[in-house]
Amino acid sequence: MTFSFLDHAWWPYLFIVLAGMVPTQIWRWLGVAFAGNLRDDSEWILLARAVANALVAGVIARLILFPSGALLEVPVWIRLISVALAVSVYYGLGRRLLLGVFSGAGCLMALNGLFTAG
Amino acid sequence: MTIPPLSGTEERLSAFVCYRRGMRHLLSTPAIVLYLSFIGFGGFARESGVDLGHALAMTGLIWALPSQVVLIGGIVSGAGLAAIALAVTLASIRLMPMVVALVPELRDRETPRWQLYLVSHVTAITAWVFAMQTVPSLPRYARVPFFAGFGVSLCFLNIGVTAIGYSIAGIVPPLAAAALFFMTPLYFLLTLPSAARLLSDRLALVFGLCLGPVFVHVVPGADLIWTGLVGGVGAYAIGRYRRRAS
Repeated sequence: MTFSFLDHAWWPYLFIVLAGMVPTQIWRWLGVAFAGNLRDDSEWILLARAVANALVAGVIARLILFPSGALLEVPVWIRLISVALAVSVYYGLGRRLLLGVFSGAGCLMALNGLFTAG
Repeated sequence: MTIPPLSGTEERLSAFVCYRRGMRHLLSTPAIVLYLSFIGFGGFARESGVDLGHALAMTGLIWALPSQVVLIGGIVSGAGLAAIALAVTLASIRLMPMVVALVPELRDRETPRWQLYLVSHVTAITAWVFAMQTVPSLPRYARVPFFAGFGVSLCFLNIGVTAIGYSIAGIVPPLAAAALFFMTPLYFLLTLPSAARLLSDRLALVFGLCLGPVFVHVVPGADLIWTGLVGGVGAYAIGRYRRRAS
């Protein structure tokens, strides 16, 4: 049963619900269920927070090193230099978030334009 | 980022006021970076040949960019429903420990369970990082409506942003699209350390960044779960040991 399996207008939406929504939401529901009545300083919550932080950090590493789409065309070394620049701008200039993010993105565009376009 | 002046000493505000205070953060940096990501997603959906209505439904119903990208990738590859559902399930496991960690921060003593299930729907990385940073400074009764005001409005707004991204796809040069995709991990990388209060949280971030790329090669497909489990449990164990020792 693929996305274009049935030629009805509702089929793709049902497909999105079954293949996308339910598999995603189930983890959120389980999260609320497992949190139960635990306090925010209980050991289980501290463990869950550590696992969540490690997972999110893993997502970050993957988005930078193994991206999908247009970012794939940008060489890894340019991505890494841009990350380093964003981090130094952020911590060097008083933790201004927008400045850090845009300097990293700007660096990526500038270096890529300089070294790969021509 | 400014935190609205809510404190335990002043008069108790109505839930609606707290909800609107949450909405005030819709123009904050995390929200703006997320809009840019969803512009990127709209473009990605169109390039992948997905209809506009389907792309909007994905944003509204799923509300987790990695899951949406996996779903579209699966549709493009012509995979079956069960295979895609399994891939999306694996890609969104991270949401469970995130919600487990967030719920005790949000909950007041009399918060009904259904409200928690409702706001869990809008819990994705951006809202999670934002909430872990801002919510602890609010009085407990204000936390769920404040988070709902931010998260629910953010989700609805991004349905529109997806449509914008969809319609301007092709106009955006590929390099600008790459920069859009790049902003999301940058934003997470810069904000997460300030939401990490304990040694175990900070160690978990470092472990996750280092282990993630390793596990991509060791256990491809299941790398995120292993990164979370090994990095998270290791960081928790070290943190616990140091707490006991001091």
